[in-house]
Amino acid sequence: MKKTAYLLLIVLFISCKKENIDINDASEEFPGGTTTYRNIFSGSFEQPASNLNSLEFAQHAVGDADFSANFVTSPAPINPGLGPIFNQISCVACHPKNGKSPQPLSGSDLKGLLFRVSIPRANEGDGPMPISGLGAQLQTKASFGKQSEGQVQITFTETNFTFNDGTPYTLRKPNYIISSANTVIPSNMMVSPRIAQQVIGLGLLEAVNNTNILSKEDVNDADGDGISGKANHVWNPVSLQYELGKFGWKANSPTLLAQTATALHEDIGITSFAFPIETTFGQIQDNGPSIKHDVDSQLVLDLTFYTQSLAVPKRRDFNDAGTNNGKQIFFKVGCDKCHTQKYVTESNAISFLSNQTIYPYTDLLLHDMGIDLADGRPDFLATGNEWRTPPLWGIGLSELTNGHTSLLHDGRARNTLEAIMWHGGEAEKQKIQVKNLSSKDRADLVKFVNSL
Amino acid sequence: MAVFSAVSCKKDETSPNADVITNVTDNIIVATYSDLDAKADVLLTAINALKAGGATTDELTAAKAAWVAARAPWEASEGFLFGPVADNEIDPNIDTWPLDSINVDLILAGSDVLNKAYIDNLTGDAGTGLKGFHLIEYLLWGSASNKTAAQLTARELDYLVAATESLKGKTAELKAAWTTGNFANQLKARSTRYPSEKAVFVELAEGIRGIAGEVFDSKIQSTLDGLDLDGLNGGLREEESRFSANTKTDFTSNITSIQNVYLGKYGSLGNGKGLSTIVAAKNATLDAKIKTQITEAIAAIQAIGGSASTTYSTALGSDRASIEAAQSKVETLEGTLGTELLDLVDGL
Repeated sequence: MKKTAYLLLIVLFISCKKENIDINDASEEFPGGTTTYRNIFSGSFEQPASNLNSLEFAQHAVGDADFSANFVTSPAPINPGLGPIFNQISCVACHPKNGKSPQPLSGSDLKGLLFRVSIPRANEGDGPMPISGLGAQLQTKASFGKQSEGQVQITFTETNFTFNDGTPYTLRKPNYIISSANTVIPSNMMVSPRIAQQVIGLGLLEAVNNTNILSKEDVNDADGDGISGKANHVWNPVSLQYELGKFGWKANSPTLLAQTATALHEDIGITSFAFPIETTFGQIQDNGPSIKHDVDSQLVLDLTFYTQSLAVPKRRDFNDAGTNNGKQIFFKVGCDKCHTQKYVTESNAISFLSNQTIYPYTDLLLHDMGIDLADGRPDFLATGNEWRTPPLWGIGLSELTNGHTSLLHDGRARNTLEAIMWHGGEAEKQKIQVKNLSSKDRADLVKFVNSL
Repeated sequence: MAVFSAVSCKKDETSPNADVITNVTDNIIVATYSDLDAKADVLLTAINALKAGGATTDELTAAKAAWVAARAPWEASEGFLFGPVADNEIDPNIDTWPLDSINVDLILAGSDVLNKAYIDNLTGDAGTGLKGFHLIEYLLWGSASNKTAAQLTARELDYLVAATESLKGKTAELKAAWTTGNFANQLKARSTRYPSEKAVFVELAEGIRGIAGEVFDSKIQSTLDGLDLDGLNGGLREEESRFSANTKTDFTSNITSIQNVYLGKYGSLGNGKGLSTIVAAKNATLDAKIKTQITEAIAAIQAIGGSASTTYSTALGSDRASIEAAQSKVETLEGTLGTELLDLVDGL
């Protein structure tokens, strides 16, 4: 009798056990594990990981200089290789202080916002079909004397809503009109606005085990919880094979090396071993064949290492009553179904990234976010309605690091609460729950998210 | 009667920390930006005079002196590169290096109308490497630092006027962001960005640590690492103010920026309440150490090349040891600021 009761108790304990969200684990205060940087100030995204050895620190510094470098038109003694067409002249121009770009309010200064373009193809899993004369990205700037690929006008539509308690809120949707200086725009062109994301924590995310990520896939919602996360499988231009996509708004980038080489090429016009041909090839701005790469492979590797070796900032307002209440609400509403709280990174990653307990709050999977957020443009396996769950770490620091609080794929949300209220599709139920919260609970939820 | 007026005039007492924040914000940061804006105005007057009626040697000398004078408060603001100077992209619009000289020459060879709006919009077309302090410096001194007034073309004068008007617009915007734009109050009162006094001290301490790091590990190091192409001495190309031979002065101003925030003085302005006040209250030894290291770093920079008149460019070729010595002093200072000062501030 006693033994059965004892066994029953154990069974009950196991079946009822869940995240004890009332108590914070001490490690949560350091979301990047031992890479975490402790000081909160405007440069908190620009610090080397706190656990680098002196060789790694030195290599990080080299990449740091490259990340801030202003590229200029060739030939030039320092930093040649810009263009002939580009979006910005440096990494920091889109990722100021390694943070998120603010939302641009006018097409005359797009800041860190760029537009991917394509036309439909039979098998979207092969990747976006480029447009003749434009490629797969619109470069809105050009070297002096050359024509850019096009210009953009932005208008806004504001809609009024009310929370259940009567408090009003508005959501402002940007509308984009592309006019091309370059070529006739195809009538079936698909356009996706993509704003520059923060650069912290990327190495840690790269070091999250792929099997772990794939285990959370539930494309057909087999468990019936309304969430159907999907992995993207994308072309890696460096390794020349299809791999799990982890980075980018639609998870279309498999590794930081691929992401770095692609950004250099598409956003700044810099050729390298990965992309030896200028983006102007075959277009009216074509300068003729390039004899040598704009940058050597070491620069690409150094930049990649830089993005891998940045610190994640420490939590703020940790163990604060409002933050803890907000955390309870976060889990009760079910935000964690996509914003997965925690991972332990692989043990065979770079040493400073290995075996770290991290709290990024993302499952790195694609989710249908509803029609209002949709861009209508597939990207490998991502449909026109799907977006990758972005990590939430650092989200509350943008105001300090960058003087703005723009969020979501084109910066349309003007603060954290608006970003939550844009959620739809798979997250519609969660959004409704937030809509029905009391004013205090709503404020605490925002406080928790901003504390990450 | 006296008692009555004393009672009626009494304000809330401020804490020592608040006094430091107020002095540093108003009498160091805002004062530096005001000085920068005023000197940009003098530079603009000098550039306009240079253009009017053709450039004379005296006018060119005056314009160069005005450039050097305006450069000083800008470099002295690098100890606090946070807030509007970064958020509003003012820094890249007035101090981008290197120059995009290919495109500068194309603009000079072309026929675009050169006015302030054109320069302001260069961010939209070809980038920030076509304007700011170094563009003005390049046109005034020439790439070989030996330009004469007679060599200044009408087109270059037009570019100079437009670029200086644009620069003056930015310095005014920067000052206004802190004053009428209320950014100063975000530090002095509480705000979402600076919810506590400690948050302000962390920002200030990290700011002075940051410029020390930038000077030894980036500005100086890039000249020591420099590639050796085109027959120029290694690193010359990376040297930021080589056209005007102002690099030693720039670096001195950078460390003076640290000193100003630390000691709470900007020239004759400021009441002496700076980060030193906070440090001395907890660790007099550390306070003395930081003061010494600041002084030694400034002295070592000024000793580059062995004499005040030896330029940084010359020292890169003939006396690298003196550059490395200065770099070492700045590195030591950064180390103390980055560990002991930040530890102390973290404990506030």
